[in-house]
Amino acid sequence: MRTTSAARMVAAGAVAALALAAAAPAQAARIPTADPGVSKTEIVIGTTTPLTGPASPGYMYVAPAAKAYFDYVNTNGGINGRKINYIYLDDQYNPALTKKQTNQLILGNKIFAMFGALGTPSHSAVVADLNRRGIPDVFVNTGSSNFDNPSKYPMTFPFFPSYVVEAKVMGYYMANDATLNAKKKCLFYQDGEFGDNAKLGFTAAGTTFAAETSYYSGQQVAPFTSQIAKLKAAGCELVVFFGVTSATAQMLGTAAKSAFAPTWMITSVGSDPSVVGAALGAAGNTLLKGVYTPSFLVPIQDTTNAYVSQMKVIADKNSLPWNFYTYYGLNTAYVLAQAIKAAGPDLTRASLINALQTKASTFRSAAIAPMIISAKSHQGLNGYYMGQYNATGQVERLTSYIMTATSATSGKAKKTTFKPGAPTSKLLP
Amino acid sequence: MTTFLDYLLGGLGSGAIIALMALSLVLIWRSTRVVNFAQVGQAMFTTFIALSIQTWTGSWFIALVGALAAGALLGVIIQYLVLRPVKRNDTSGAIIATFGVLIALQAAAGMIWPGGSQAFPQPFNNAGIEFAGRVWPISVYDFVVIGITALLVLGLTLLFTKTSLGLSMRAAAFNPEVAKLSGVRVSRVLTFGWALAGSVGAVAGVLVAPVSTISPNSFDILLVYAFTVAVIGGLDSLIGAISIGVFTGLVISLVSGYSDSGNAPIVALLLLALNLILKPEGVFSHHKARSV
Repeated sequence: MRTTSAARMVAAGAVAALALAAAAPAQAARIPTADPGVSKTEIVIGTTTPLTGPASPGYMYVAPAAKAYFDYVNTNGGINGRKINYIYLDDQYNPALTKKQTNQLILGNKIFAMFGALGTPSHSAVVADLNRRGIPDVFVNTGSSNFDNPSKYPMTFPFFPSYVVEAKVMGYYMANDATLNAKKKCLFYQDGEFGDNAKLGFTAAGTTFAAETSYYSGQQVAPFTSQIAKLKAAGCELVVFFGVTSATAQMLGTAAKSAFAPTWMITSVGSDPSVVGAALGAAGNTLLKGVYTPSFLVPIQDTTNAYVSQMKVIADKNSLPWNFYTYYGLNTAYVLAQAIKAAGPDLTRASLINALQTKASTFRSAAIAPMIISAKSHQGLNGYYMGQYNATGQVERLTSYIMTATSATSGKAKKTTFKPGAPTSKLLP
Repeated sequence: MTTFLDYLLGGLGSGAIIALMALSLVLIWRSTRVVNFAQVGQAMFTTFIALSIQTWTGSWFIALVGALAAGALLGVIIQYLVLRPVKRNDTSGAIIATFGVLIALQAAAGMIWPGGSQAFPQPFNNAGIEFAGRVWPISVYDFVVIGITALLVLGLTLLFTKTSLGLSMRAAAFNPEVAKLSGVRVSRVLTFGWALAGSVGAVAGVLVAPVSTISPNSFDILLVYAFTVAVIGGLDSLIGAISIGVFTGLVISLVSGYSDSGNAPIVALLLLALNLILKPEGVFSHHKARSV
């Protein structure tokens, strides 16, 4: 009931603002900007992210990388004369703490917008509140398809393709590759929303599995012996895996022990080679070689690419390790800076939302997938190319085309091509 | 049939590790009547130390010995700094204190060894053994784990039944006042109990790390199983912890194989509930449960 009336108020407010802007621009200009967190010289942006705790490995680099980019923008004059004051707080991937830290950002730091909040369970705890208060909630760092819901969450914009999209893309690729399609396919997934989202995507893609098995989060401390025995007994030749990176390592290790060597296809979320390699030790690269994984960014090792090379310079200057997480953090911060610039010199929350909904396709980024955001769909990226690990533990691009899909529970992926435009001058917005 | 055997063999290795962790819980209980929830934290911490030693020296054996020593030392430090100040009869206070220690250890480990999950090098061959024309999911390393577990149990049983130190430990735990009157230096004996349990937990950590990865929270799930096993085994029975531990490993493996891995913790919980209803003092306990 409260949400409904809140949503109505937001809608009414938006309509009123639009009417004002359209009818009397001169009058609107005289009204001082009422939105918190933005002044003539500064924009305050906040993030909650795990810097410590069980989920922090890897993820702890994302926000510092974004900060490195904003500092770089600030030393080059800021955006429309405004410096970005970027505040990121540790929530340990703990929803209770996320609530507390988000309140601190809203009430204490008076943020203009949330940016890149990380984690499905943690962000679920605050998403309704952010929307009720009308705070832009931009580029949430999670693949949950639930956040792309403009009628329920008009302020929230997910960035990465959802798990449903990824599963549809995997299903499309397997169906259209004769060698893979001839194999007996099986699914190994993580219990809960993560795996459920993937299964929705595979059902929509029409992929059927000869056998399915699962693990629960935390179980990867012990070898997956029984799961591997089950897949082996079922005669699986192609195993699709939807789980976290530490589980990928455990799965490959256990399979090697049992002399089970199918073709593997693993989710991008569970594929960071630095983490998988660290967990598997010396054998890592051998076990990873030939594994399929979808990806949506220019390969990280491609330092001749104008995006990768310039972002790596910023990372190096800030002593950040050059891994996927640093790369994600820098890339998303770059897109946000362009959105803020596109919102114009009279920056308001409404103008930022408007810029995102109407100008996203013009934003440049290292993503090899179009950015199509509209008033009807807030999902940022929605496509992948298929990649494969090489002998040195790096993901190489396998398809020149990309595959796009929506997060809807029906509809298959489509094949298309996309070439990212050149980065803006000096990677500044 | 081969699949069934695969499940059984697969469960054996993880069962031995659960058993070792349960054993360290039982050791603390036997000597101090406290359930030590910090046990997995201590094991995690000493495994990180072992990993550092392994990296410096390149020797798994020195790393194992180092972990044993570090485990004993850490046990003593915790007993001295945290458990001793807690009032003697305040059992719940002591248990809550061990929770605090767990959180502190995990936070400290995250600061000392940052950068996420790390691999622990495989000291022995972990490839499945080939027999009768197929590869079975049991390796030389699994036999090493089972062998070390068996040796530890044998050694501890001898300690408790054949030595005066073992007798003092049992006396101090059973009735500290009477033990004191009989000339047992109770507080020193208690400290020894913590050192011993710390070492056993450290061995469990070093043995599980090569088939897992090591991070501040990586052993958390082990605590759940080890605690269940220790309670079912009767909390003060070494043989109970070991046999129920291995049994639980097998059950988990079979349940995950034939139904769904998500059902494994539920089955473990059912076993615990069943045990509390039918034989609340534990399957292998020497004492009758207190009746109300």
